[in-house]
Amino acid sequence: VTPGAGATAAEERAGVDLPTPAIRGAGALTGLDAAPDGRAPAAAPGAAGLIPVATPSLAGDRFRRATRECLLAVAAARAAIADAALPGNALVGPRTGILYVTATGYAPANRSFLEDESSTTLHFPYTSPSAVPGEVTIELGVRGPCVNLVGGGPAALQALWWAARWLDEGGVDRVLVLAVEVLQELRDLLGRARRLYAGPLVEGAACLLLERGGAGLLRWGGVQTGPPTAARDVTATLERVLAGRPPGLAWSGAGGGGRARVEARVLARAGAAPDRVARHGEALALGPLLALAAARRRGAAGPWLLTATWRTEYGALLWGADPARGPAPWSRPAGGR
Amino acid sequence: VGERGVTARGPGAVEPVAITGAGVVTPIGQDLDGFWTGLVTGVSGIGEIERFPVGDLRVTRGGEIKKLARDLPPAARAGAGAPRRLPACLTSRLLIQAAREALQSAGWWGRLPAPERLGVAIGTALGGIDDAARALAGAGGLAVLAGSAYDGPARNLARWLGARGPVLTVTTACASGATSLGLAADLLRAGQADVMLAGGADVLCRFVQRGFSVLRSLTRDAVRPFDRRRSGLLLGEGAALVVLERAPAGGRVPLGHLLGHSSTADGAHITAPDPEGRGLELAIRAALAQAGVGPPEVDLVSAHGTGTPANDVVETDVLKRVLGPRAYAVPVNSIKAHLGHTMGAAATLEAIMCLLAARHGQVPPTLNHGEPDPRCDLDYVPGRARPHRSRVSLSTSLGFGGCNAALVLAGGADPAR
Repeated sequence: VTPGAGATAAEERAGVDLPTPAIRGAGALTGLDAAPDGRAPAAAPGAAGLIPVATPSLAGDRFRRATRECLLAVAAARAAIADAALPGNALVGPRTGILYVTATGYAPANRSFLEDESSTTLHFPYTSPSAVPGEVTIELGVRGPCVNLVGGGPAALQALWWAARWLDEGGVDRVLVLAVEVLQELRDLLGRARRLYAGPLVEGAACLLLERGGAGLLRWGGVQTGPPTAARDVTATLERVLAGRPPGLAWSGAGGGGRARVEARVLARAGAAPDRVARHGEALALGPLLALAAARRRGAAGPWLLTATWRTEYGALLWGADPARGPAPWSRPAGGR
Repeated sequence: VGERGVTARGPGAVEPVAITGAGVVTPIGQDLDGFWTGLVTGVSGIGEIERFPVGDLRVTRGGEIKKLARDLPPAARAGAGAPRRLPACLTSRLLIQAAREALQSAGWWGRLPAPERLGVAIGTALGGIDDAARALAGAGGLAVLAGSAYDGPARNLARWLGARGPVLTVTTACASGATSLGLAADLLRAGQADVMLAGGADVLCRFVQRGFSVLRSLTRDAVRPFDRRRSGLLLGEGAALVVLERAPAGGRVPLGHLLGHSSTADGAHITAPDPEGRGLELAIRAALAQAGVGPPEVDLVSAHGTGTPANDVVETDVLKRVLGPRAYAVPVNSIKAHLGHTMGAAATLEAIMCLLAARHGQVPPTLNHGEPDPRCDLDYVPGRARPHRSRVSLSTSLGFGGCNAALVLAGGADPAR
């Protein structure tokens, strides 16, 4: 029996293609400037060092214990609500869901608790990654579906797919997709781990407030895990989501090395101009959210291609795909049982 | 019976996903047989912690795994790029040990699914925290540092398996081991993989023992879920994995099916459950709806049942609201007095317990439950295991950050009612 033979092509397409959500609001706090493509001079490929962001000051006694990552998260979520021109209590209740993604958002608190044995009850709860979306849900009264993923850009793409799925299923009216990365407290460790990422590193918080009603389909190419230079995976994933048509905008998070080169070749074959590939440095889980926020701000014609890499993973998603152009089928290797 | 060999259920129900195998590593048993025997005979894995210094901590006991398997292969499949040695990270080793048993029981060991169609979804509350402590102390190189991330254990497991499909690390705190199963089922239904290994793992370490100590959540007494004398939890460690598939091939009989899942936010408090249990109630109702199962059909509840004063009352109240009068007729157990609170592994272990209960026609007891609490007045299966034919089970979980999760499971080969 071929693996997965029980799933028909139509069922798989239904699972992979979903109605694209509408971006009702976007909030971002990063060291990147407000240039049209969100690119800062300091974020040129190959530049070294972190792009810093100031800690927001949030009023209220509740925040006296919260970590920097919590403050950034709440500020980004509030900014998304303000951008959507919604009242502050608009998300109260079970009809709003939240998906939180981070690669590093727990590490400073964990490190602090590990290294400082005088830490108290005020510190330990914040070592849990779930404290970050927890503070956001408390602040906004969100009581709907809640999922937290640890990973980089591919995990954020996966979260966008789940947000579209939740909205499509009808159980929620709005979804917050939130990412936070905090790096400054980890400079020395990151210096030891330079082989794991392509600099510069972008820290901050980004939040998209999504609703039903976007244009076209969200086409999810999935995440492939494998050797960083697996050209076959990159090519297959991109060809599957592009289905032979160039994207209106391509945001690459492919990082350095082989994957970026393969990606550029596939995009060129599809007719995408290389200068439409913007690079922001390594924004980890923030990357895809910043890309969508920037594309929306620019009013760029769709569909928007988002790609991301984190360690051995590569993922691609097409936001606002033409429903008339179906995706190429998922690869099904021969063999198995 | 539909084309997948499963009977259609209620309107709005999603496709059940088969659980074709399971594997566990726990303080009371390092395989399914040992785990089940320990549960039904009332074995407690709680004892003095020996692996790390605890002399200065308020509570020095926990559910520690004293001895690990030494016969694990460095990789589950041969080939270029296969790892040549096991990861040093203890959480990863527990996962690998559980994965071997899960694959064996599912019939996949020795002939693994194609790498691109095999995925991993791991829930954890601590990730590779033991590696983090070593990395901060300057020990180890890049591998130790990389493994110290929360997603380190899931990556290590995927590498050991040679899996190249989706690799997820889920961290809804102590509900992670339920959320990971629900997300893995979603990926299967969407065709993103054919086989998912899903579950959770965490290890006892000074970091978490000290953390819960300073929070004053740990008891110096026994863990007594739902008992009037309950005064807190004790921590444990372990790993639990299930093999999830849409369409088991070759006539294999699954252990059971995952019918429904939901994970929700409380939006109330970072560490304490919402006193009204609104998020938990929503999670249970949503999971039942996804399963196409009504409250009258639930015949076993595996509660989070930590033994803290707040948790057990909230869970009891929510179960009464959701199940109505039937709440008093359904056995509700907690296995945390056997194991301690195994954090990321807890919800998956409890889901596996539900399936084993259906298979064996028995419900494990809630240990140390002797004095009823007027506010916790359900049937908590005190004393000893009880013969009970269960088919549809509900498993509930709660975690830091106001995370809740609920799973609806059916034991046996047929998910139909």
